[in-house]
Amino acid sequence: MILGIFLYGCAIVAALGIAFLIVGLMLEKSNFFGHEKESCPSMKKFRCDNAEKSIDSVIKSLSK
Amino acid sequence: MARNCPGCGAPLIYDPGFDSLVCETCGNIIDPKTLADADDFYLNMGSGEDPVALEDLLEEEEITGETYDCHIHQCTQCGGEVIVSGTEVSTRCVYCGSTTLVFNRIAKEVRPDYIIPFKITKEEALANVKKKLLSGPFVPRFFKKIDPECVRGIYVPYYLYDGVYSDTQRFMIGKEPIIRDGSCEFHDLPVEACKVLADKTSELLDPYFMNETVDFDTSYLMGFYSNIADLEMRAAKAAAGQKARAVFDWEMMQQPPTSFRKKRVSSVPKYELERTGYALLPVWFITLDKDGTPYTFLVNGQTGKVVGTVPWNRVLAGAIITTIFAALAAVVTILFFKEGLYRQIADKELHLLTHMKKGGENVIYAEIGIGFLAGSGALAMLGIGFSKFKHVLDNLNRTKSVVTFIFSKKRQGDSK
Repeated sequence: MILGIFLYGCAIVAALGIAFLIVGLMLEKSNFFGHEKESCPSMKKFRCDNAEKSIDSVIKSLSK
Repeated sequence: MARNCPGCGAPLIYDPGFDSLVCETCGNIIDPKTLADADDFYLNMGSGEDPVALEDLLEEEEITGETYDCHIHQCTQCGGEVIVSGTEVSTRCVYCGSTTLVFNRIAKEVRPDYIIPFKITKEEALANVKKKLLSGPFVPRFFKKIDPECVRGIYVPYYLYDGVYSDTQRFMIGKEPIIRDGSCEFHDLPVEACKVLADKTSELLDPYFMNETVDFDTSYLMGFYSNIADLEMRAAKAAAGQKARAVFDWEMMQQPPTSFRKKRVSSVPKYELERTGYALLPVWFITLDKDGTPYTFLVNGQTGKVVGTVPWNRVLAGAIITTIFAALAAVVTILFFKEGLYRQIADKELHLLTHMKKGGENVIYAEIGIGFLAGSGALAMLGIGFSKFKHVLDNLNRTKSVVTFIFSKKRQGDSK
């Protein structure tokens, strides 16, 4: 019974957090200008290799 | 020193729309490259010029007085007194409106190497800001109709860095660990070199396309304000390293594109960056005033990107938070009480407590563990929600920054 009441209270608190998160995301899109990240034109010859497992094989195995 | 129209003698200003010097009196349009370089005298210092004449000439433009933290120069057009702060290079004379240059701040070793002339006109910058203000549903009505209180085009100093950056990073994609090696080169990485401006704000102005730089010429300063760099070399190099890391890390997270959650766990960066140049980059500062509080928006003078945060309509935001919370709370309440979830949990708990045998106190520990996890999860969700709000609030405070407002406003000449 106590656990049930406690879990109910946690769910209500989480609901409040979700409400703030949703509105915060909406405000970020509507009122905060310039936060979009873009590729830097000063960066040249970018190279990126797998040191161990191939990242493509990991993504394939997760997709299955 | 103002550039004068060869036709009517009025001061010329640089117009981004024409990419030329324009006379506002007779409409004459002149390519700055065709004008004789009035800076030659200063550039040739030390190559046989008469030192007595140089000192005399400098005295006319040098400091003629000092008041608090400002210096007073004499306008070469009308002779009026022009007040400049410690790092201003160009400003407007309050009497005749012509651009005044502080030559000793752009002579010799402190002269910028490059400049990106303004590509966005004042009208285009204002239109970009108004378009953003009109598009947001949470923007208060007042801001949608407001006229700017102060509009200034200011060239901001940047150091340019070249170098190599490499890193070995460990990621988790889902639960799979991945190690990736990466490297890149940086060429003309711009790093803002003005102590007064907040780094976070100037970072948001990026990107600047450095392939559009031209050799520095004072003609491009006509009609605009500018400052020299005052950031110490060590601090600038540290800022360059941080910027290179942020750019590299972002690029690593994009490769390859995947819908699975990718999380960086560790990295071992190595970099070597050297300062290769000093450039002035264009920024429009547009200030809106609401009940005495200034909101300064920055517009990238090359691309037109708008940076800043507008306060939100609190009534609307509060109503939406209340609605979403009420809806979620109603769903949870229905699940717990009407659908019987609460009864199921209570019955299970009672059954376990009644039939507790040896070692049954483990049941209580399990309940405490479940309660702790549920409580932590709820508090974590609340923390995430508040931190998102705080992120927007922090950016709002940067837009309201008095320091940025003073950097733009406290200059000579007309503010609109």
